[in-house]
Amino acid sequence: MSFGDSNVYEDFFTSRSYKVSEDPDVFVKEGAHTVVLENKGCHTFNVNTIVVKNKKGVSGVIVYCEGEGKSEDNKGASESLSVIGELAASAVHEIKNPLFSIRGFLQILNNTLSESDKRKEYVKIMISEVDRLESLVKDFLMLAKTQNDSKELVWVCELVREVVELYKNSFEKKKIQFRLQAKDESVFLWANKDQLEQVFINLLQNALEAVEEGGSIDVIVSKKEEKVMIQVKDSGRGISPEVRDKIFTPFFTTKKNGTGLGLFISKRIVENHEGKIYFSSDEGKGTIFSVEFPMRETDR
Amino acid sequence: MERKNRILVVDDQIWVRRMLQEALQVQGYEVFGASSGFEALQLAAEKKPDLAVIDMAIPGMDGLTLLSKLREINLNLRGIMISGDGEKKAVKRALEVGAFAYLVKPFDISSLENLIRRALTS
Ligand SMILES: Nc1ncnc2c1ncn2[C@@H]1O[C@H](COP(=O)(O)OP(=O)(O)OP(=O)(O)O)[C@@H](O)[C@H]1O
Ligand SMILES: [Mg+2]
Repeated sequence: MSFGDSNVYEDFFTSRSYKVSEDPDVFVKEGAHTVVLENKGCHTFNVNTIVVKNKKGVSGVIVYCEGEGKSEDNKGASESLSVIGELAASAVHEIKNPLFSIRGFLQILNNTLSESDKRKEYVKIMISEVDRLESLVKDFLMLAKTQNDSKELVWVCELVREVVELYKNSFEKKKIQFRLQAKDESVFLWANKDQLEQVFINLLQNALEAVEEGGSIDVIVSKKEEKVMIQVKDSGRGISPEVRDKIFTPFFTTKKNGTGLGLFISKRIVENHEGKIYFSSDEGKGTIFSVEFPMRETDR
Repeated sequence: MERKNRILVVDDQIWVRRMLQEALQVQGYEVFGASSGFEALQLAAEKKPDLAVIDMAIPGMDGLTLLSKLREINLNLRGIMISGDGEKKAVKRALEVGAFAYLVKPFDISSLENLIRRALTS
């Protein structure tokens, strides 16, 4: 694949001597694609290709495969490709540390400059660009996680509590009133824990970004008939009617540093678990996102 | 003169460590850096820090083992764990071992500063 100017992934493939033939001008393209592995012949995979774009152009490409490669001599080839996801995840992980130190040094620099100094403006721009990179990196990692499909019995309330623990500082900082209402403690789901966690993280992150200082966020876990329902309710700005049918589309964002992949990925995950995700929103008052999963015999 | 509060920063990524050291020095702390658990233990014996900021994934002994060892020597030592991922099990274990807080990278330096202030007055 010629990846356009998305060097990271091009390097990634060439370094592993893989070459993938594919039209680069895709936004989001799913379906069967032919993949040429150098030295290994030609294979057809069911590939999801996501070109990550932002206002300035292409900033990355994510490729992942479902199913097995069909070809003459391709034992291990599909395996190698699934390894790509894993490797991409660790590469992305490695990017985090340098970004973190760059941001920190910029903040230190920022504190030493006076408001009237032109350099302060430059430093602020650099910090906000680093923030953008960080949020992109975060989304890449999130996509890599959706590769693993192993399922286990997940204790829903416990998982929610664990995710909330991560947000404690952010909630405190924004003086947010947080409540977890577990109407039923004993809710279990047969699910991929990492993916489920990712859904809660995305919803909580969105709620956090939507509320003003001093606002409230509620998470409600309940069980009704054959369904498990998890709701994230915020007292934020709400979703305006014009954008309501767009928010699950990849790369749709109304945020300065958003990538617009959060809800898209969440929806995919929920649907992979035969669930549903929907919302209701009152502009200026708040939003409730609801996620519903069917319970199987063994979950009850 | 009153003794400045002493902080030990343990991270094997040199620039992350240096950045944290600089930021905390500016805040008026006396700061020492170590790149491994072993180095940290030696330094701690000598400098007797009041607080340690420890990366979860350091070479040799992991961050939590280091924290328990540091707290065996000085039960009053406050520990703040930092990590590249917010792995739930790790967060829980960290709090069990007596960590004061757990921060997921990237975080705002001011969040760390606030936590340290709170940790040192609690
Ligand atoms: N709780 C909410 N309140 C108000 N608007 C919301 C809420 N959740 C989502 N939105 C809207 O939906 C858009 C898409 O959300 P999504 O999570 O997919 O992307 P994002 O948050 O913009 O970026 P990221 O990729 O970082 O998650 C947001 O930009 C925002 O306009
Ligand atoms: Mg989001």
